Amino acid sequence: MSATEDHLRLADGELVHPNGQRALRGVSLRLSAGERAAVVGPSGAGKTTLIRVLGASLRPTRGQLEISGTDPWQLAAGALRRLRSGIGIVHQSPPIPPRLRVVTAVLAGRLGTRPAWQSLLSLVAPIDAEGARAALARLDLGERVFDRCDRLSGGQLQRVGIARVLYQQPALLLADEPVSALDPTLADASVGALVAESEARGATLVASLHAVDLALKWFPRLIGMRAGEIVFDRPTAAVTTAMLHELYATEGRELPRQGVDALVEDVRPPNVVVLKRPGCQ
Amino acid sequence: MAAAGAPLHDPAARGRLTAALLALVVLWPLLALAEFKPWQLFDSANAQVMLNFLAGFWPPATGAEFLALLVRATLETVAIATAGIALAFVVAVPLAAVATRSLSVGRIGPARTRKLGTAVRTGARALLTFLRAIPEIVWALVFVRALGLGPGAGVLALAVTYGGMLGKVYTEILESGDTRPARALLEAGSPRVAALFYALVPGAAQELASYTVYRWECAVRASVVMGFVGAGGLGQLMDQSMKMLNGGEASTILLTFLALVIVADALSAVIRRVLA
Amino acid sequence: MSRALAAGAAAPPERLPRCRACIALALALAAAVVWSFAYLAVDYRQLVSVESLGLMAKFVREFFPPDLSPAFVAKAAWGALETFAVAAIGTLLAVFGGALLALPAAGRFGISAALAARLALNFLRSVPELVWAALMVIAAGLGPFAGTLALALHTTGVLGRLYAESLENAPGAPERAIRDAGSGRVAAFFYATLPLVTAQGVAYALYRLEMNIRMAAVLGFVGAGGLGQLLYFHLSIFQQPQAATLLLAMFVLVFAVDSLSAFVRGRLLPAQG
Repeated sequence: MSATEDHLRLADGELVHPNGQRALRGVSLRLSAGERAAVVGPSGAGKTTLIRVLGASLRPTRGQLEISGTDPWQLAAGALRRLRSGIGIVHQSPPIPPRLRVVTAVLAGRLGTRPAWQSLLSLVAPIDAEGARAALARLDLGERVFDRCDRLSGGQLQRVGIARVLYQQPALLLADEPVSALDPTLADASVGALVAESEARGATLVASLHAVDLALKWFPRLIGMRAGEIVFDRPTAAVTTAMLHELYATEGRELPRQGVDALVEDVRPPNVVVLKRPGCQ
Repeated sequence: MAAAGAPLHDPAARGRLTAALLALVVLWPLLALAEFKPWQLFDSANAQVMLNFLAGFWPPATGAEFLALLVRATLETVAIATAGIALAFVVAVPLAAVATRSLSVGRIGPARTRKLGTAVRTGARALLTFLRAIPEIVWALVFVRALGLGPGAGVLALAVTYGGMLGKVYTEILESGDTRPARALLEAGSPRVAALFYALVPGAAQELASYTVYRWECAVRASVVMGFVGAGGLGQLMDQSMKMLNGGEASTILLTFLALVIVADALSAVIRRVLA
Repeated sequence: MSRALAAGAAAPPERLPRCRACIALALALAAAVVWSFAYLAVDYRQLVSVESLGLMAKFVREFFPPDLSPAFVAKAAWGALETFAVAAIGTLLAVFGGALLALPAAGRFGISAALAARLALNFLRSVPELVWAALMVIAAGLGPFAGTLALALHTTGVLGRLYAESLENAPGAPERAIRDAGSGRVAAFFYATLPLVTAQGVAYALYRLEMNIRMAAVLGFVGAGGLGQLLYFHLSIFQQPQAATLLLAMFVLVFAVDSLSAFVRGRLLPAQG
């Protein structure tokens, strides 16, 4: 497979945070269109950073990123916007304003493809409620389409975040721990929905997962990360339990599984109204 | 799952439409009452007067005679604010001492005076609320009519309204600190005044002083505003200049006012830092 | 000596804390107060003389009973409505003006725009409403329009600054996430940041409305219409009973608006979008 056929290519990606912390060290990765890969590894391995770098959300301090042959960071603003409307990132903690309704949160996925006036009008009267509902239904949330986001549980909000990306219909699907707040059944179904989307439209899918069982079940390619480096990048069949134990440093104990090894903090953003009363009155 | 193809109805749509219509229905008469006619600003006669006035803003008036008046007026404003706050303090302290629960004897254990105490405290609080309710400039107008033009009206108006404001906040400050020393003294039979000065004030002194100085800053602004109804100071001077459409004097006074506010702000901040 | 010590050891009452700077400050403040009274040279003896107290008492007595004839009550009610309109429209204009200036002030259009916007907001805020009203009377003529403009200008400064702070404190993650999906800046702002600050923005606006009702009532003193203009007029011709009615009307109006504002704030906002 030649380099020009790659959909996604990262060469020697490095990211150093302003405080000196190295999140990514010399990471190289290639994915062809429609390929699906899972990124696994312990907390702090740099999975989130990798996802964000691949999605042109975070600029690497060194190395080169190419999406469909172009470096997004060299593009003009308009072209970058168009490229980004083809990239969908599912966040572990969906950054959705609490007071927004679910329908608007999902419709926000296609803001990149609509003119501004249409998007603003949609705030008052949702422009494609049926489309939003269809996306939510794939995650078993269809009946919540007109609810307020702050009335949802953390797990439901996470699924809204996935629905938004499904609605966006991007060519590149990236997911950062998309099911951390879901119970095993729902998590399995949700990952399944992402994979189904990728299969149906030939979209490339890269998902970082904490639960190894989900990664092994759904993805044909496994990328192991530890301390900012890629430790292995193999077809799933070629990954042994020993390699996984070494990755997680869980010799003799159990590997992380969905619902068992819960790292679920509340993924909802706080809903605070703070009022100051300055002045001479 | 819902039946595919069933049209989806936004439950919020109706409410939004109603709210929008209601807003329009209410907005129209309000705009009429407020005589909201922005085109009037560009009406030739008015616009000419305003432009001439604004043109007079530059250069600001700097005649020696006028500057002497300006200095006197500024000093007068500061004096009104200071004297007003001082009187407000005198009004506020006894009222706060009466109104505060921290000095209540009736609330310590069984007492015959409990109901009476509560009634007196409620009365004091009601009085404080009443003093605060009417803006100081209204009091200033009334006092000017009763006592004649001049700074006295401004001082008294501040004494009344700021007395109410200081009293309310003093009450809260006295109740918010540690009230056990006061309670201990009252239980031992000490008179309330003693309890106030020996047990409550030491702990609260810094906060009381800090708020009073902050109020002084507000009093400086209020003194300028009250001058517009004849209570002396920069405000009265500015009112006179504007009535004569003297843009140069008005702009000088405005600049002086802004400078005064900045200085008062800084002074207040410095004093409050020293107190901390 | 030892007896004095023993007496002193029996829990003396706490003394006020001693600090050199505080004492110097207290003396300076006392001197300032004394100077103030001296400078104003108000003849206090004349003020509290039996004669002038009698005059004051007579003046106050004439406020009662207030003029409650239907004709005048109607006039007062009309003045109250006019005052309410001035405060409401003025505050509404200020919400838009403040929001408009808050965007550059929060740094969304670069540093120089931010500085210019902040300077403008500070200026608008620092000039008192009454001074604005006096200026607006020259620009727009006597009547409630001048009052509306004055409140709009001053309150734009106040709300603009509060809104700018809200915008700066709002988390940036929602907007970043939407822009990462290809959205333009305008849509991203409305979908991601505005919903975060709207509730607070409305609360501030309602709080200012409560303040502005009180201000609108007194702006009439310089000719900006409403209850204030009526009060000024009737007091000028020493018609205390009418003035008393107008003061009562002010009370009722302020109470009504405070209650309305509390009600709306209690139910706060329905969903955005």
